[in-house]
Amino acid sequence: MFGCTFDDQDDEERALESCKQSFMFEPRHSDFVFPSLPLGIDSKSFVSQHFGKDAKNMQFRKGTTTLAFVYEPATENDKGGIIIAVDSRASSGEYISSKSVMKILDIGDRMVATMAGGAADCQFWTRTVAKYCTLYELREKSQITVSAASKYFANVLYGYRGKGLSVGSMVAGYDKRGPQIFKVDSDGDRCQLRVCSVGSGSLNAYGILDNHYKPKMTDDEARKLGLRAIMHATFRDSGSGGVCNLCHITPTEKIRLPPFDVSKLYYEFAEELGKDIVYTPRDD
Amino acid sequence: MSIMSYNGGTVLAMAGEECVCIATDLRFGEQMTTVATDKKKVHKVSDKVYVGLAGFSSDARTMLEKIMFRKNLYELRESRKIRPKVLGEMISNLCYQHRFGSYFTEPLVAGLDPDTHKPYICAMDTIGCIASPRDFVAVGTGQEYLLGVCESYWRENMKADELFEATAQSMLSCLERDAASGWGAVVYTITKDKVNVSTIKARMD
Amino acid sequence: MGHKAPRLTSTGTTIVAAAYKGGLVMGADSRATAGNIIADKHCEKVHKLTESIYACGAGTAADLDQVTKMLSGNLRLLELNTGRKARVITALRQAKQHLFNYQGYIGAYLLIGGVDPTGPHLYMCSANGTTMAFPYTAQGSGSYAAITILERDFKPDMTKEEAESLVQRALEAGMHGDNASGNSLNLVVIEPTATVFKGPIIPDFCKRPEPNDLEYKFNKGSTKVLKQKAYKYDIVESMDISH
Repeated sequence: MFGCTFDDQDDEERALESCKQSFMFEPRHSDFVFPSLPLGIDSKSFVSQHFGKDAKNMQFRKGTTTLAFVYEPATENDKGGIIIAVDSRASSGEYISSKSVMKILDIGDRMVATMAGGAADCQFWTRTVAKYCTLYELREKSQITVSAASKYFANVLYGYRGKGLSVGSMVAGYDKRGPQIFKVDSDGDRCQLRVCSVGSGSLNAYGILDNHYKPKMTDDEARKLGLRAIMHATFRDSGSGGVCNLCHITPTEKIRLPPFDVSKLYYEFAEELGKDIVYTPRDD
Repeated sequence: MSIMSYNGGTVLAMAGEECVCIATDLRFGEQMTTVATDKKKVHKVSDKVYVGLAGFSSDARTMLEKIMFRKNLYELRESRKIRPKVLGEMISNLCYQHRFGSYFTEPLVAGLDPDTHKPYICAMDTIGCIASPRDFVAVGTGQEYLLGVCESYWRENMKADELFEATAQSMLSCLERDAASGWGAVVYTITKDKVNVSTIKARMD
Repeated sequence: MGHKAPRLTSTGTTIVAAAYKGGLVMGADSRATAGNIIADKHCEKVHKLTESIYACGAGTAADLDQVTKMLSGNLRLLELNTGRKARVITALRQAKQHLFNYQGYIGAYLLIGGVDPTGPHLYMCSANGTTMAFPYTAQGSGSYAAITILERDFKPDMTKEEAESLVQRALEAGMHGDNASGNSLNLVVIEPTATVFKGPIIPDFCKRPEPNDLEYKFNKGSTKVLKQKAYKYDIVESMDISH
């Protein structure tokens, strides 16, 4: 029996040693291996053959509006930072498959990623990035930069380029270099922007953002701008809707705001303008 | 994407006791973009007879003009108001004339018989196959959602105010799940002495 | 342009007919489908052509309505012109010539049956104009299930009751085994002296599992009305219909 105990201890030590070893190395990109298709079958043509040309039914797609922008505080009382605002609709074709999806995903304490495109693709690969970031921080004992995290994300997506992934993500966060937003997509593209919007409603959101964005804003102004842009995008774009989820990353903390019903916002907005948006019944 | 959902839109009709309700959404879209929010798909044909035209908007418009033309000729020739059942049959024949190149619109007729006040509702496909059940009919992009939800909301012999609530709530439920319809809704409650037209509060996304 | 064609209503159907001693029983279910949705739960698929000739239809619903409407009109005119009752073979010939003209593009698959001075007759007419005569047959998507019952139990010179029960059982088999058939069934029994129409008969397995007696009732005012307007009708005091 005593011998056994001795052996156990030995085992434990060995396990610890190998654990340490493996974490000291640069982590592998992903342990996950996709079962490969039989020879001669291309994943993209396989999908289009079996799920139709645009494969809309294969997965929930987020007919989405997501936006993020960086701003500086206008007064001393304001915090500044990044505002990330998204809608909450998941749809496949005309069917609204969910009205309450959270499209802002946490990557670290001070970093988030937004999701647009295929829901499963976004969720899975964001999880992979989050894991990478956590391991990085444990190993390096310092926070990963937004730049590094988004580059890892882009590299992974580039590795699967042409295989039919559909991801349009913004990685936004605050690090030692300040507030930063990187737009990453499934083509492998990655670019840094200060004002950014992704998804089917992005053009509508840009319209509002370009009109009202100022580099210096109060916190209240900035939050309202995000909300307003999402609201207008959901109004014009049938793929976006539901509630507006807002996230404010300040130099010190990450604040998630309670969801705002965009439909309610629209009615309030119309009232503010004194605009009669209600259809007047006619009997013609 | 099917041509039937290019513009989007849904129409629903429910029958009650000496009353019918016909509801329409107000969206006019071009695929994913909402272009206008004041486009009703229900049109008055006669005092107590209304027609709904879902589907491709420009065909719906052409169809409406053909319907009005034929209905006017009918009323002039017969010197009496058209009955909803007759109108249904007329539209069906109109649709079937274009059997091998149909208009991309699904018509729906709802109304009261001008003499007996018996409710009549019917819907048809693009080539004019009439389905005329006694309870409810729906056409358009939200048809599938409506047929499901109406199955539990509809009851026998509803009075006008009950019928209005049932129709309005069914329509609102449909709009929650159909991205191609919405942006406001209008419900017409047709009773033997008046028509009530109400714009109901719907989501604007 | 790669647009999907709109879904047409089709009568994914079970239609059955069988002759017996001196008469004919025909029947159909009453479900009309458009893709996966049930477009009509109680549609009439047993069409009257004349007093003693009926047609059951499978295929595109609008085509069936129009073809049978045309046939009944033509046959009625024929009867008025000749002063005799139309024969089943006449109805069949008219149907097949019309359908053949359209080379199968009119999607009407018909069972035409009836009793005329030459006795009971039953014919099948396909959309492309093929016709055949049968003592008993089934058509439509549920025909595979229905024909098994007919093959097993059909006997020549059955009584009326036997034939009626056979057709009903065959229909029920079709409605049970085929998703596109169901809801209720209609029967017509044609004899030289009288034609009896029966239906709708709802088989036990087609009944709603629980009757909908829950009160899904909305209180008055539960829908928020933003704007409202009431329109009274113009009352026409009198209308001159003398000419």
